[in-house]
Amino acid sequence: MSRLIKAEIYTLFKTRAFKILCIIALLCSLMLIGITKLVSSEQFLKNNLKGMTEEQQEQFIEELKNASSNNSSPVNSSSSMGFTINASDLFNPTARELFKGTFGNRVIEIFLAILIGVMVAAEYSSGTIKNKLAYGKRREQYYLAKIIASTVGMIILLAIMVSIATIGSTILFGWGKAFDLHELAYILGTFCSAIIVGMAIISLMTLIATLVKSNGATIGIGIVVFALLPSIVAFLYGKYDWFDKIFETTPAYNWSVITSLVSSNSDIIKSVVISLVTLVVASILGIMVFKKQDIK
Amino acid sequence: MNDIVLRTHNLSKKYGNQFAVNNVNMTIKKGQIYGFIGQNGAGKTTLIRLITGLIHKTSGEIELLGASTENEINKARTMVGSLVETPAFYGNMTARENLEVSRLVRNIAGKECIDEVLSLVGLKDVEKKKVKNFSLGMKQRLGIANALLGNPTFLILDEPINGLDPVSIVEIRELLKKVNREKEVTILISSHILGELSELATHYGIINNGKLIEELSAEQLRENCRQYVQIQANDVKKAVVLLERELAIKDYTVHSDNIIKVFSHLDSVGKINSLLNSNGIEVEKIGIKGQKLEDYFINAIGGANHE
Repeated sequence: MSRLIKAEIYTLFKTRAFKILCIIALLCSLMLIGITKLVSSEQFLKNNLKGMTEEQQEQFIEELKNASSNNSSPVNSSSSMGFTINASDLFNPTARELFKGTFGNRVIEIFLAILIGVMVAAEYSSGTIKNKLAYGKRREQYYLAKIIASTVGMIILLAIMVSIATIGSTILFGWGKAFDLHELAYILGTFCSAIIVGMAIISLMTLIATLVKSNGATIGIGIVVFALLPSIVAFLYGKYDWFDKIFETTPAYNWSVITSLVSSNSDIIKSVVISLVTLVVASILGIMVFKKQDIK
Repeated sequence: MNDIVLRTHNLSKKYGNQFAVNNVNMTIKKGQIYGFIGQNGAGKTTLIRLITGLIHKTSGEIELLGASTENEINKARTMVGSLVETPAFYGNMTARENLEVSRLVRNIAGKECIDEVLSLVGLKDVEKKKVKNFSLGMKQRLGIANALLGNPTFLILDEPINGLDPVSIVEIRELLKKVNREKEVTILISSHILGELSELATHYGIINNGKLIEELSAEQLRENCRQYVQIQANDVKKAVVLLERELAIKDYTVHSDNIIKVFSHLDSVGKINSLLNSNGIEVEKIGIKGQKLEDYFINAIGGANHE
């Protein structure tokens, strides 16, 4: 099993799509730092609001300040896609506040759809899966090795995105608090929670890849189901109880919870538990499907 | 371990109502080069996929390197090298990197085995070239290198000479003979290029419509395909005496319908005819008979088709 994982990780590092995703993650984090720096500058905003009177400019900026401080529900941001600058004072953000925003919304889902498409589904279409399964490898081991290697890929992508943006914003704005062990635990706790939610997404996408066996279809379905659809239906959240119950089990919601500044510890634990259950159930289902499959 | 490398017992694979492999009983013994002949769609690749565990059998049994339970067979598969259908590799990786993935998957210790197989198939010079830039022939060679990685005891090659130029075909043939001879690797090689198989195989299996029609050794096939002078005469006993006495013919057989088959003197048909006629024997028919490998194969599958 360990050699199989090693082989999958070796393949991951040699995959061009993964290298490109790493570069995109790096660019995203650099852009996030740059845009935060610009947006947090009152002078920059005023320069771009030249069509308004000074009074209108002040009013607009005040509204921006209120909007950023009134962000009380983790799901407020679940309808958006990309990166959200979370700060109690938009013009004086701290790296601690920005940290959770660096995880992005529906960004990792798009990355993972591409990664699983290339790592799992493409093995069917290219036929390379034969080279591994014809040598007596247990199918459940192969399947789990794929999930583990994809998780390694996700951790690297997240690490690039989060660490660069967090280090950059700490240099520009300061952490906002004395950096002690408690703060380190906060960073690691959030990162680990994100990994678990991400693994749930990986297990679901791997199941899809196993069913459709096509990298194009996996990427397409992955982006639609895990990135676009939650953004479209998120407006229903809070309107219907039945919808809320379903929506709160989705990876999109749980990702929003663990990357929200206002989530309580119990919210985060609940999201982590739901994600772990998703991971186990989707993996078992995937292995069952895979074990019965004929490899053509 | 006995000397049976592969034995299938009533092995079948059904897709819907269609049998792709139908009650196949195949036996391959240690040291054999088993030429697996069949038309496109006859069931060769399906049978190979069953043996390598890529697809699940509908019924029947497989015995591989002495293993017969599912777990044991899976372990035995670690000693089998295979090239199933078209060679498949990661296009963005080099030949060496692709073999490194295989080495890791198959738990083969030491990287020197990669150099060894690359040299064997003549790809050492292009080991750093990305596989997406390889020709089909180079990919086939890499597929064979991949199958040979880790010194397997049983090699399964599905149409390995597809896409190879004549020089490469000869090289690969010699390579396979060499690994069979020097490393005692048993080989199952499927092909529809019969002439090529006849240069290599020690045993044959003919498959058609999913059914294994016939298994025979190269000697038996040669015997069956041997050319001879066929004589149909009114007095066979007298004719035989004359042939032995006057032309020293020893290698012949006598059949029903007054037929004599002479396996020598293929260039003396006229002489035989004159001899028999001058001694009062009425020769009804005389001529060279026998079939090429292709004819034998066509007759074999033709017979099966008319069942």
